[in-house]
Amino acid sequence: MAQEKKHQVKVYSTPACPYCVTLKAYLEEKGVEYEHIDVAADKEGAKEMIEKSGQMGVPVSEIDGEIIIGFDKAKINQLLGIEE
Amino acid sequence: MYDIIIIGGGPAAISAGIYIARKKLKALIITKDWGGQMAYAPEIQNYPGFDSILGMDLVNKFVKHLKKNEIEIKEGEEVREVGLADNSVIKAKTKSAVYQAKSLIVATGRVAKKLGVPGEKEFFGKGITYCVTCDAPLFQDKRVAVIGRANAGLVTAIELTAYASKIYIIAAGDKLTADEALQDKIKKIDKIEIITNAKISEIKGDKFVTSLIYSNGTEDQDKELLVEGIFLAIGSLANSSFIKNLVELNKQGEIKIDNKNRTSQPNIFAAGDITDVSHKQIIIATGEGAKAALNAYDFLKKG
Repeated sequence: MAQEKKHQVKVYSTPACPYCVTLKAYLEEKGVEYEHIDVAADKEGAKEMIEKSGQMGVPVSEIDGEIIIGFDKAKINQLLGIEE
Repeated sequence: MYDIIIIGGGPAAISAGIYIARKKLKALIITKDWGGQMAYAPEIQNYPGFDSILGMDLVNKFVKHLKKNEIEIKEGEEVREVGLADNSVIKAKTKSAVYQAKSLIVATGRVAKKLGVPGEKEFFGKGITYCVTCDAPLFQDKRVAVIGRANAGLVTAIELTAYASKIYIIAAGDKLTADEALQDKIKKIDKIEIITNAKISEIKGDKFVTSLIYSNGTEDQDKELLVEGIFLAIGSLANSSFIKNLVELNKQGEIKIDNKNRTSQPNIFAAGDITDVSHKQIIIATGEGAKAALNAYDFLKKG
């Protein structure tokens, strides 16, 4: 699926989190490029995620400045213009 | 119209998917995520071929194997209701679609139990979590409580020792019920403290969790335990509510099956931890998934 415009996508996750893996696999399948922040290794990244999202849990993603909590496929599709 | 729909993404569903794909049926797997409870296991030591493996790593191997086969998959979708038209056509409803099939394999496993106290819903994801392998790294140098006295609770506490500064294990009864080996292991860890006979009444916080309110069996007075993280490990329930009107369940909410994975509804099969099969194990769920797939295939072939 070709993307019409480039989106800014960031995914905050930890290595052993089921929804993080599903979310990342989904983005990769749809050909979406994203910046990945492993909050287990990157403490500044973890702080940034908690401040931006108000969440102490992963995954959190940011698409064009909008925060998405968990693997909310409908919202991700909407923000990225993915049609299934 | 599909020949068969498989609902679930754990070992039973994945194994069923692999077997069904090899039968060249028009099949669909619908799952909200991959791995089920297996994905949350910090370490698996009893699955042949892997003497020690992280739950999520085994899940990834399973999913990769499944996706090598030709089978349609809808991931990130949750089946909320299953209907039956003319007593034969399965209608699996998700938020965005209705999928129809001649037969169904239900393999949605079990979901974590909740405490049912004030603050639990409000602070979920804000200090309260069910997933130690996911969220433990976010509790670096923080005080945390683990609710649960069985194996899962103790494994969770041990996993947290790499991050948290202090770990309380909150037990509902007067002693731990976990395996002796695990109990011996935690006794040697200084920063773990066990609180027994605790009845939790509330979780408090502001933007995030700040404390846990509980009372001890012997004293009526509420006590406040200052913690920023609460890890719930109090067991699980069969994830069967979306199908309870179509198939017979036992008292625990598990789907009753016979030795061919048949439920009380002829074209609905079930496999794994959602069923009344004895022992909830990954190896058993994978075997049950295969068995359900082969029996569903026989059913479809007979027409």
